Amino acid sequence: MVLAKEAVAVHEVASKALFDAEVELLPQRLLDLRGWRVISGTYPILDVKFESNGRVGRVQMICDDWNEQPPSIQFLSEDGELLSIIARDPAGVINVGPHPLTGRSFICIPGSREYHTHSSHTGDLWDNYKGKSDFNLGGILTKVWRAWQKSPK
Amino acid sequence: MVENKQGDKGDEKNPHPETHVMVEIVTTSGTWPDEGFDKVPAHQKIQVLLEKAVKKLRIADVNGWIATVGDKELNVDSSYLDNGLTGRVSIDYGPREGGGGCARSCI
Repeated sequence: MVLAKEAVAVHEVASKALFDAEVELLPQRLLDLRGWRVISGTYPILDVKFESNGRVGRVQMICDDWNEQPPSIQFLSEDGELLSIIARDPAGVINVGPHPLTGRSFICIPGSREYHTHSSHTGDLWDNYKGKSDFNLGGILTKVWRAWQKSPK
Repeated sequence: MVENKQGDKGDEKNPHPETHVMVEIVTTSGTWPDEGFDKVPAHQKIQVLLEKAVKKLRIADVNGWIATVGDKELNVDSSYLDNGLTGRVSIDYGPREGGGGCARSCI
């Protein structure tokens, strides 16, 4: 139906606008301080390398339908290959998995699509968190980064 | 020990401890100040400038946020001096990672 298509198109425009605004908000000073390097900030992909003390990590957030849906978060190798297994951090933010839908390790905190779609947490709705300060793209990425810093090398 | 007028205790090597530090607050919503650093009293609680930055950057909720310099988490209820901070300081302010959603493996 034409109207449904138009609604989808409008929604995607809004999703992209919000994505672009939040990515643009990340100050260069923060990127420098944290050792973050944005590989891609083009909707719907936010792809960031973490560089710290000679160690490199890489996270990709797929932000289609942002922020009606939280981003799908996955780890990549330094060269951009999808990683299936990631070592758990002490707090358990990184869950070795496998996630029943993706078959990979996943981020197990609110703000991760994999968390909200896991059968153990389907009752913890993304709507409970959407729009809060911790749960914009920068806030979610910060949590993933902190967990990565504490995970085994 | 040498005391200055403010009652700060220096030592023979540093009889005049710093009275101010230059600080920037860095968050995912922007930095405070916009450019450069803010000159603040070294004995001021870190929380004071954090609150100012939060207000200026229009961050709605900072419940559970932590302030760090490098790998060190700061005690924001203490002063810059008590936290061992002098000179030019960049404070990273943002949410901590939180706990994982599953006490055991999510099955």
